[in-house]
Amino acid sequence: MAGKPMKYFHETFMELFQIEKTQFLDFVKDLMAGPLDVIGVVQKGNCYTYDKVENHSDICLDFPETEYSPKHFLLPPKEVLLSYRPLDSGSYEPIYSQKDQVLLGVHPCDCAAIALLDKAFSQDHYDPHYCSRRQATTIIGVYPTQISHSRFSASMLNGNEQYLAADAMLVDIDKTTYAIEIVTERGKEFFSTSAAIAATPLVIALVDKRKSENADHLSMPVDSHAFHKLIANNKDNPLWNDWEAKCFKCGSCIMVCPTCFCFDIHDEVDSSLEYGLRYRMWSACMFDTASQVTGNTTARRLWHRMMRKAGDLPDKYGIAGCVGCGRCKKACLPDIAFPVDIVNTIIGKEAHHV
Amino acid sequence: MCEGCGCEQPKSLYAPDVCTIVNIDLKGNFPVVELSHDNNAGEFSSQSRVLLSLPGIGEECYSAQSLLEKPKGLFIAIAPTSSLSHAIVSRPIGSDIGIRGPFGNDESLQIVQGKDVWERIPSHEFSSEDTHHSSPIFFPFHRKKMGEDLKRVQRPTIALCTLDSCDGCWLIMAAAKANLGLMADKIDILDKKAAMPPGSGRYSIAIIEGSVSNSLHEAFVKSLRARSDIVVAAGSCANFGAKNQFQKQASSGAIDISDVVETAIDKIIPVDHSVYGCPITPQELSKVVKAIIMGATPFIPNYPVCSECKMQALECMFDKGHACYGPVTRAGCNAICLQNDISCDGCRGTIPAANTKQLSTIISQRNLRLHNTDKRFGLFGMELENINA
Repeated sequence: MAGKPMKYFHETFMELFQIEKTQFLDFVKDLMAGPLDVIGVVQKGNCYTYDKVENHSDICLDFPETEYSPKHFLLPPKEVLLSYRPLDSGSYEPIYSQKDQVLLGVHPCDCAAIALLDKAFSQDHYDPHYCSRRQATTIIGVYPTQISHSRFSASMLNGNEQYLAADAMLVDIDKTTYAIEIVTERGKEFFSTSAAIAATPLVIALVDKRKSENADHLSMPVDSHAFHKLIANNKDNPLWNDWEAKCFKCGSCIMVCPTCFCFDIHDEVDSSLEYGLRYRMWSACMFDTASQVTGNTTARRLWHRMMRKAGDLPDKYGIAGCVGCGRCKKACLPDIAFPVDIVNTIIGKEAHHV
Repeated sequence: MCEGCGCEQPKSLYAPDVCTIVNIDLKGNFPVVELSHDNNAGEFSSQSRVLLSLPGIGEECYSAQSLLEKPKGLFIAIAPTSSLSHAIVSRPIGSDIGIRGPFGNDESLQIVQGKDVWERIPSHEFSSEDTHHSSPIFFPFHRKKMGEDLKRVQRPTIALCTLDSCDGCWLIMAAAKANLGLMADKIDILDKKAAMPPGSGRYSIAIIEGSVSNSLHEAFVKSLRARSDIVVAAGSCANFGAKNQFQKQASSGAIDISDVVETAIDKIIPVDHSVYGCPITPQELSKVVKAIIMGATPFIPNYPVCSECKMQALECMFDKGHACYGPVTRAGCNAICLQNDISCDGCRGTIPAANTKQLSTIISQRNLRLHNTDKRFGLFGMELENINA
C-alpha cells in the first residue's frame, strides 16, 4: 500500500521453477477473471505494444521489441495528483491509484528502466503516487526470444539489472516449456496458484544457454565511462546543430524512452468552479518551450538528452540512463535520436579530424 | 499510513503546505513577497528553490531570498510574467498560498550577478506601480480588498458569435452552451450570418467562430472587441481563415468565389486566446473559458501531435506508409484522428517551431504521395515544398 518504503533491488533470483506454456496461458486466463488488471504485450498492426489484455490468447511473449515501454502503466501520460477547491490553499486532497496490476513480458532492459524509475521516484523525494501504483504492480519479465534490429542493451547493462525490478523472469526453454526465475516473495506467491513445479535438471541445464541465445546485433561502441566522457567533451560539437536542423521538437524520443520521466503540472477546474484537479502530464526537454528558457537552441537540448542518459542518471541512481532498448531509433522520423548512431557519428568525425 | 497524523492517506509529495502572505514590497525592481512559514521554519535558506501555487491557477518554481535585516523571514522576489506570478503579487496581504520545497538550490548570487534573466523575457511591460492595475488577467478576484470573499470566483457574461463558417464549430458551441451556462452569469447568442444588428451589450468574454468575409463582419468584430474584455477565436476559420483556404481550392471548379475574401479574426482585431481545431471540441472550449475565469493561462500545447500520438501508444502513420502532418501540427486534440487511423491533416495549425522543411524531405524521401484528391492537406494554410502532390 501507499506509504511503505520501496523494497526491491534484488541482485539475483532465488528459485527456479518451470511451467508448461499451455498451463501458463490457462493460469493467465484465470488471473484475468480475477480483480487484477493484466497488462501484456499484444500485436497491433505491425507493431507490438503493452496494453490491457482483453483475451488471453492475444498475449505475446515472443516478440523482437515493443514500440512503447511499460512506463505507460507505471507513470501514466496523464495522472491526477490532487483535488482542491479553487483558490482555497488549505483544501488539497491527494488522489491515489488503488488498482492492482500485473505486467507480463517485460524484457530485461525495461526491467532495468523500471528500477531506475523506482529510484528516481523514491530516493530523494518519496512520490506516493508513483510508489502506490508501483507497489500494486507485479512484474513478470521474459528474456528476449527474438533479435531486435535496434536493441543494444547487452552493451549498456551488466546482465543482472532485471532482478532489480522484476518479481519473476520467464525463460523460453523450448516449444512447450518456460523456466521461471523467481526473484521476489511476491513473484513466488504470484505463481503459487499456477501449475509451476521445481525445475528439472534438464531445464536447469538449458537456462543459461537460452537466456543468452538472442544476443543483440548492435552494440554501443564505447563502454559506459567512455560514453559519458565522449558526450561531456563534445558539448559544443557542430554536429548537434546539424541534428537540430532535422529535429521536429516533437518529443517522440522522450515519449518512447523507458527511462525518461519528466512531467509538467497543470490545474483544471470543474465547470461548477467549486472543485478542481491538479494533474501531471508527460513533458519533454525536446519541446520548444524547454529550449526557450535555455538559450533558444535545441542543439543544446539534444546534447543534454544524451548527457542525461550517459552521465546524469547513472551518476545519481547507479543504473544505466540508456538501457539500450533502441525504441528511439524507430520513433524518430528524421532518425537523429539513436544513441549508437550519435556516438558513432561523433567518433567518426573525431577520427576524421585526427 | 501517514507518519504525521496516522490517517489512512499518506501525505502527497505534491500537496503544498499553506502559508500566509505577510507583506508585498513593491518598492524595488521586482515585487518581493514575504511569507509566513511556521510549519517549515528554518528549512528554507537563501537560493532555496520553492514551488508556489494557487489551486485552480497552477504551480510554479521560484527562488527564496534572505534579507540582512530579517534573516529568518522567507522572501521571494517575483517577476510577474505569468498568470500565477501576477495572481500572487496581486493577492491581498493576509491571504493564503500553497508552498512546497525546498527542492535544491538555485544558482548562487556570485554566478547570477550580471546575468539578467529579465532581459531575456521578451514582452515585459511591468513596472512596480502598475502591478495592481494593468495586469493582463481580466478576472480580478485576486485584487479584491480585505474582508471580501477571497475564495469566491466572479462569473462572467459570455457572448457566443458566429461569422462565416461551415457551422461545425457553431454546433459545438451550441452543444457546449449548457456547460458554459454553469460558469457564466449570462450568455448571449450573436449570429452574424443572420445579419442581425450589431448590438450594444458589454461582455466579459466574447467567443467568435468563423472568419470575417465582408465589411459588416469587420465592423461587427471591431465593435464587439470594444465592448468585450477578452476575445477568444474559436476554430480554424476564426484562427486562420481556413474556409477561405478551402474555397481557394474549390474555386478551380465551376463556382466563381474569387471576390470572397475571408480573413482570420486576428488580422482585424487583437485576440486574447485561441481554441484550435476543425471543429473545436466542447472540452477544450470549456477548458479555455474556465482558465480565463480563474485568471489562469489556458494550457494549449505548442508541441506537435506526435507527442500525443506517442502518449496514446499508437503506431506511427509513416510506418504504415501514410504521410501525416502530426510532426508540425499543434497538439491538444489527443491525437483523435490518429486514434481512428486517419492521418493528421493539420487542422490545429502549425506550432511556432514547426520544421515543415524536414517534413517535406521525409515525405519525399519515403516517396509518400499526398493524394491529388486529398485536398484536406493544405486546407488549413499549411504548405510543404517539393512534394509530388
